[in-house]
Amino acid sequence: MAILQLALKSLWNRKLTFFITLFSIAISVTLLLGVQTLKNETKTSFMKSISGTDLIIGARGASSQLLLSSVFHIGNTVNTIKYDTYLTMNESPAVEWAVPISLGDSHKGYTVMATALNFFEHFSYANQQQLTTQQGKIIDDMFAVVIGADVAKKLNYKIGQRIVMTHGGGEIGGHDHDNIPYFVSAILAPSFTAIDQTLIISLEAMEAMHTDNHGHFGALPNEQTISSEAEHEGHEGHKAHEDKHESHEGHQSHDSHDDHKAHQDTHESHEEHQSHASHDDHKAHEDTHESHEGHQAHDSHDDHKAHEDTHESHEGHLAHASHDGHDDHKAHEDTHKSHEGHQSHDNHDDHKAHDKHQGHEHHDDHEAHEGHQAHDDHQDTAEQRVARLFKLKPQNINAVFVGLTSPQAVLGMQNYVNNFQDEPLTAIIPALALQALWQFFSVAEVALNIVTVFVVLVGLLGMLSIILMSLNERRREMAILRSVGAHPGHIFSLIIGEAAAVCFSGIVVGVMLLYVLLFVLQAPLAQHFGFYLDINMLSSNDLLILAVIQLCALTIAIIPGLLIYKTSLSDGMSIKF
Amino acid sequence: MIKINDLCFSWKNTPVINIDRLHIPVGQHLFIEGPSGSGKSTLLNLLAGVLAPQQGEISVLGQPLSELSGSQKDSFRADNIGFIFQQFNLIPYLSVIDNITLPCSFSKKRKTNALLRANGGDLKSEAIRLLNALGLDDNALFQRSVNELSVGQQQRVAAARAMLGSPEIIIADEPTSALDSEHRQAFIKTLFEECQKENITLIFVSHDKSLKHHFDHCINLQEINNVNTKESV
Ligand SMILES: Nc1ncnc2c1ncn2[C@@H]1O[C@H](COP(=O)(O)OP(=O)(O)OP(=O)(O)O)[C@@H](O)[C@H]1O
Ligand SMILES: [Mg+2]
Repeated sequence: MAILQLALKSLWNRKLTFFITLFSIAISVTLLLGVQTLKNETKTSFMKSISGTDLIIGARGASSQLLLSSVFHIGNTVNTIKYDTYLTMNESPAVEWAVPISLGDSHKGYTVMATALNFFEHFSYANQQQLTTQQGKIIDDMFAVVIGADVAKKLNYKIGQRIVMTHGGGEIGGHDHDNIPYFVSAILAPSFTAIDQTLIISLEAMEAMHTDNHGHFGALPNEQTISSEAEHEGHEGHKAHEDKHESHEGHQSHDSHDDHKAHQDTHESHEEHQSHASHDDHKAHEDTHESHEGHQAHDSHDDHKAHEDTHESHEGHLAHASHDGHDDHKAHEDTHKSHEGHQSHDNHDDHKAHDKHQGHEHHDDHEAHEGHQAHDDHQDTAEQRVARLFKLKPQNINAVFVGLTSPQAVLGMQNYVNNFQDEPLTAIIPALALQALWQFFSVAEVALNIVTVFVVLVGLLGMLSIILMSLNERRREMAILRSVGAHPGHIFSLIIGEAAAVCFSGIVVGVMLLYVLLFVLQAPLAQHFGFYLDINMLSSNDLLILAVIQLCALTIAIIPGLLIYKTSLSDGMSIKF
Repeated sequence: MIKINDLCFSWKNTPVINIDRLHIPVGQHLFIEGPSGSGKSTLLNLLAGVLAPQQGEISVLGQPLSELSGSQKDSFRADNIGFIFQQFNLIPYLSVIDNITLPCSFSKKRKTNALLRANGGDLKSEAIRLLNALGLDDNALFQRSVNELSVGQQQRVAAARAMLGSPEIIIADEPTSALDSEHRQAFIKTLFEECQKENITLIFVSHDKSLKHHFDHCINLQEINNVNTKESV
């Protein structure tokens, strides 16, 4: 009977301690390899956060800060650069494309990123992969918002849903830009980058929210925001009208729409209402409406033959009833619908010259709008209409993603940007900056390595102590083996062989456990943490680690091996207890 | 043939054995008695080559043990000597048959001898033959774990192991002390029969003077040992 067979039978005789030792080694191996895998995967996914972008330009400062804010949307984004700088960069002959990025708003804790439409064309991650949509379409609409996969999933947002942004990082007290709601136009497929947790809006919309009056532009000249206390009496007796007023009980009233052919708006106030917009004949082509309280609205009406009307807006957008005088308007075919607590939707069939949209009653409580998600046509608020007209370009942005015409131009361009005359700038090369930033984590990496090495060491020491403890009870076994002719070397190799067997099976079980864990955790990690775990074969580095562990086990087993070698020499065959 | 001349052995500077001369001819059944601590077990370890004497010469079957290296002594022992201890002779995780055939893992000579004796059978059939000869004929017993055997049964399994493959010498260190007197007599009887059949030299250590009369030769270790161990007891 081979000594190996003896060793295995002896080991099997001590199943319990054998399996305990085996599992302690297995778990430590799983932990060690698991940490290695996580480390590598984290690094890979970290490095994959952006690709295809040659330079990121931002305000002068630490490159890591610029990288963190622009790519990972981490940290504050106080430092801005001028929008004009972006325009200048865009014109540079070395620049193939440039995408402006503006941050600072949030939506329920998720970052809101404002950018231009060409972001989707140029931004890529991993191996030059572009962002793709899983639902909806990326459309060129100022108030369209494209949301990341995680955002859609966590907040359960659907295409067409209306949402509002919060100024700042979503902390308590952050101002809600609730007068400018957005509608979800597209949901992106998961990219496992920060984009998954981001809402992407247009720069113009972002700017509209950030004007001094927070986008409370007021209503267009021929529109009023509507009071919930509004009464409809004023509409009675408008015989000439062919309006269909569908008013529901306890509802707001409607905007009235003028005959714009005459380019005149006549707004008459109804006495019953507290606040009015009164619109006189636009013969003078300029009306100045005094504001009642609060906001002012600046509307420009294209079809008013370039005449500008300035209308007052109505206090707080609440409790206003604005009833236009319909009397003067002939040939109206307006359909006024107002719904309880909701915006009203008007179809202005004969507003041919108007590119304006129907008026909405603006409510602070946007949840009330949900009933109207089904509307395919986005219904703008008055502020949005104004904002659309203004087409505000931002003053400041946070970063510019730049693609260059040739890779050779990177250093030259970086140099040019860093020495830019008009304002202090920093240009970073994403790949290098990612590398540099990863170095920050290297301390944690080393600490993690040390911990896992000690875990393995503890596993091996456990094995040592269990072998040492078994020696005493195995002295009889050794004496019997000696009496039938076993060499002390046989006894020694019995111990070493046992350690080797325990450690090897521990490693095998540990590796199996690792893969089981990886397969089990892959889906939940991607789902809940946006962390995609790539399952690979063991790397040569892993195999080296395992070989070292096995070697350590053999080395450690020399201690009990030598001990029993010595006792079997001196005790001889006498069996003592 | 075992020859001991001017043998001196000490455990860590404490002399235990000092024997001028002891010759044991082939086939002799030798009974060694002596009080506890007189060095009987030590002497057997010396004869088996497990311990090496500080002084003097031991030659077994014409082979001076001092000329052999450590592992050669182990192989020599595996080939030529069968051992029976007082108790706990068996390896608990091996079956009865595996325990008996254990010496064949370490000695080709004993394996060949055992197969010769088996008349074309395998080691297992030879082991069963020996067990039967020692009065263990219940085949169901062989499947059991050795821990489930009675002490008397265990001792007979140990004897079967010592006899398998016909070693030249069988050394028994108080093999009967755990047995009751009835089993003791039966055990000695079968052991003697087997040894006689194979012309095996038997060296038997025991406190039990009642067994003395079975042996053709008898020595008291205290008498031939120059070290006075009485004081240390
Ligand atoms: N491994 C050892 N290390 C040190 N001294 C030992 C060792 N083994 C035995 N001795 C000493 O050698 C002497 C003889 O011991 P040994 O075991 O040979 O006695 P014994 O005659 O077999 O006794 P018993 O009849 O009780 O078995 C004793 O005094 C004992 O203390
Ligand atoms: Mg003894």
